[in-house]
Amino acid sequence: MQMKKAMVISMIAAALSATAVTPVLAQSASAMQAVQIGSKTFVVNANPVAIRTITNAGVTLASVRDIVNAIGATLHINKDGTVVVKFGQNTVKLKAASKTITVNGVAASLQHPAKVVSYTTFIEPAAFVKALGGTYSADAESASITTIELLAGAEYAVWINSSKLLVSNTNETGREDYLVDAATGKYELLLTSSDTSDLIVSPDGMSVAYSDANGAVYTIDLSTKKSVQVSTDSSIKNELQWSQDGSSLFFLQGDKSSVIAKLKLADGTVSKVLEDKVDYKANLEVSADGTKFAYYVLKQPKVTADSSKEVELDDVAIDATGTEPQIYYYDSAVAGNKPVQLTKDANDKVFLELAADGSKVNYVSVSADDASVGQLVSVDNTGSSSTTVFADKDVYQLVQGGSKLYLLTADGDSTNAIYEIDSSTGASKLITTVSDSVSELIVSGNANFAALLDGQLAVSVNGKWKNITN
Amino acid sequence: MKWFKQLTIAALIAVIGFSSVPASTPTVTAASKLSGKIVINGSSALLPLTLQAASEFKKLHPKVKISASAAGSITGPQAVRKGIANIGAVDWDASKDVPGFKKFEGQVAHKVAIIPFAAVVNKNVTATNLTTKDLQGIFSGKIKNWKEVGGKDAEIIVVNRTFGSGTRVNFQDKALEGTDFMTKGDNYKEVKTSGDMKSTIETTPNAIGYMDLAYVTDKMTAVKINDIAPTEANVINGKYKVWGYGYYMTKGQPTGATKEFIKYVQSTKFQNGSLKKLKFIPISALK
Repeated sequence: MQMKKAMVISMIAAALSATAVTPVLAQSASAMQAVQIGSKTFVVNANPVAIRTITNAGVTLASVRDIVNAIGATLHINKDGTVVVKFGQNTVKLKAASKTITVNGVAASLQHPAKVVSYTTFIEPAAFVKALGGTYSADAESASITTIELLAGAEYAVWINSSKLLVSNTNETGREDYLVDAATGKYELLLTSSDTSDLIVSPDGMSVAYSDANGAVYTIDLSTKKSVQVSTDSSIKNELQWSQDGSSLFFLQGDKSSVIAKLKLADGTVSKVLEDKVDYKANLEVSADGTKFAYYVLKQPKVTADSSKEVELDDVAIDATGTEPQIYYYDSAVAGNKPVQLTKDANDKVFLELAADGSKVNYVSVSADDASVGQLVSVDNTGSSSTTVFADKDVYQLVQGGSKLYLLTADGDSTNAIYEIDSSTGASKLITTVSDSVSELIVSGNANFAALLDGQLAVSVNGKWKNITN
Repeated sequence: MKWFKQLTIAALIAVIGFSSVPASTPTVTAASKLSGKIVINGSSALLPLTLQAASEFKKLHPKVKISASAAGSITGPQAVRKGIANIGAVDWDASKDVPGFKKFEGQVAHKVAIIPFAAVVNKNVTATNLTTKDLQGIFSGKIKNWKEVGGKDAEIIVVNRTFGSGTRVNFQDKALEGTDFMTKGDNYKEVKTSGDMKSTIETTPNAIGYMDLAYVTDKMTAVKINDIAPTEANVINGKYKVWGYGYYMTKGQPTGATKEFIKYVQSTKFQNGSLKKLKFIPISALK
């Protein structure tokens, strides 16, 4: 494993050094000696960062300012030339040409003196990082600085607000859910459970809800981390959805997800919104006012088999005609209303998104042929008007972020693309391209982007992606 | 895995943050590109589990089309052998001989769930704690009236699954300890699926049948057998004996979308999440 790790860090370093600072010749202000400033890639809190370096007497010294910037510390230079670095509870003072630094007022020794080249101070990175409370490791090909313990991996993630994500990982005994700071990757454990549904974040980002194997429903206040059981109803609850005002939870009820039901958080009562004896509803969507619903129905092919015949005859036939998933819309505000079937085509349908006002359903339509090409389609809530909104590229995923829609699509040989769709006009805009290893796009209500790729979570900060799990 | 994770962020950065760098070729394929069609047929007991998994899997792999149907366990491996299904859902290991059925040559069995089975009665039945001997007498037709087993004076309506049902195989083996079923009579009915069994028990006074625990509703009563209630806890602690493994059968080792779907159903996330919620028991619970 160590060899593999070293190999990959080396690959990261190779990728970065190709674009990093071009080595320049500079002169030490004090010694008037030509020293070459180069650049090396350090893996800082799981992200590759180019750090300026010099080699002095066979020893690599690293830029104090670059390390400070990489870990988010602060730097101040006193009038006497003393460099003061503060990071967390630690304060480090150092001077050029000195082999002594002070760490929180206590003197410590360096093996080699700090050196100033072109007005930049360079220092032994190991001693400096240790003095700041971090850990430093290096071998012949790479170096890493760790000041934040990042969460190990991410299987599921959703934005809570613009600065925090909920990240979940499963293990042999169950699942752990964490709150992760989008800027730093700092995390805290929220819930350890063995038989619960995914945590569903409330629209205001203040609570999460989940159900357990007994059907009981709980909410957790994210500010106090306090969990409260809000219902003892034991029916099977699939696909919990918050109402926009946070007062209720909607869900598909029963082992066959045949009923749309509503749980009032105030008193824990469960009521049926729609019971039409149609089984296997999925992808439940609820309008902002909590009265309109969209979902698709998984129909089963007709099987004919004669159990009186010899088993070896395999007298079984499967007729899947007309069983493709179809989208339905239901307006519960109209008395005696019935669900309306919005689609009839043979394409597969995934990632349903009901408009906040319930006026239309956007979804990814996957062609019925072997090519399985995805397109963004919008259908109005009567089923009479269907529009292909985006067909420029193969659509992999649709996600709603605020009033906009976002698509993860195919792009080049090794890239995927992210598009923003104005859901009112249908206009599309390319946001960026990403590695084709990105398997899931996660968008907040304020259009913050995160992406899952190979079990890791990265967030987009000012157009650049930063890894916040390790 | 650390090296692998670091590779991925490097690949991401190569594309976005440092666009002048020739993009390193990712060594993995994004999950969303997986495509194919999976046809699943067989056990009606396993159908809710299969369709729940299908709707979750489609969000991870939207280009994979899944069709699932049920007409009794035996039709699962039959459909696989016939080449009209990729997965045969069955309530026993059909790669081995079991009483009544020969093994299906060349098929591979994949455990996906532990299925508790329950004897169930209509809500009007008052005898809700039966012994193995009671059940043997009732389902063989020797005991004909509920008063013979502590209930009221009413003729027992026996509802059985048709031949080829995995639930029937398991119930006969584990609840009746191999005793033969009655096969005809005025008070005897056969139904083809668990869904049919559910509706029949719910609507037929004095009826008794059996089904997997996931299908039991509050419109019927799941009876205790030898004083033991059919619960997940009692299966795991070894007190309740009427359960079996649910299997997905494939023709040889699965590949492509079929392989990924089976992996998803066997994953900790699905096993501890939706599978438990649907009243099945994770396959790891009895290891």
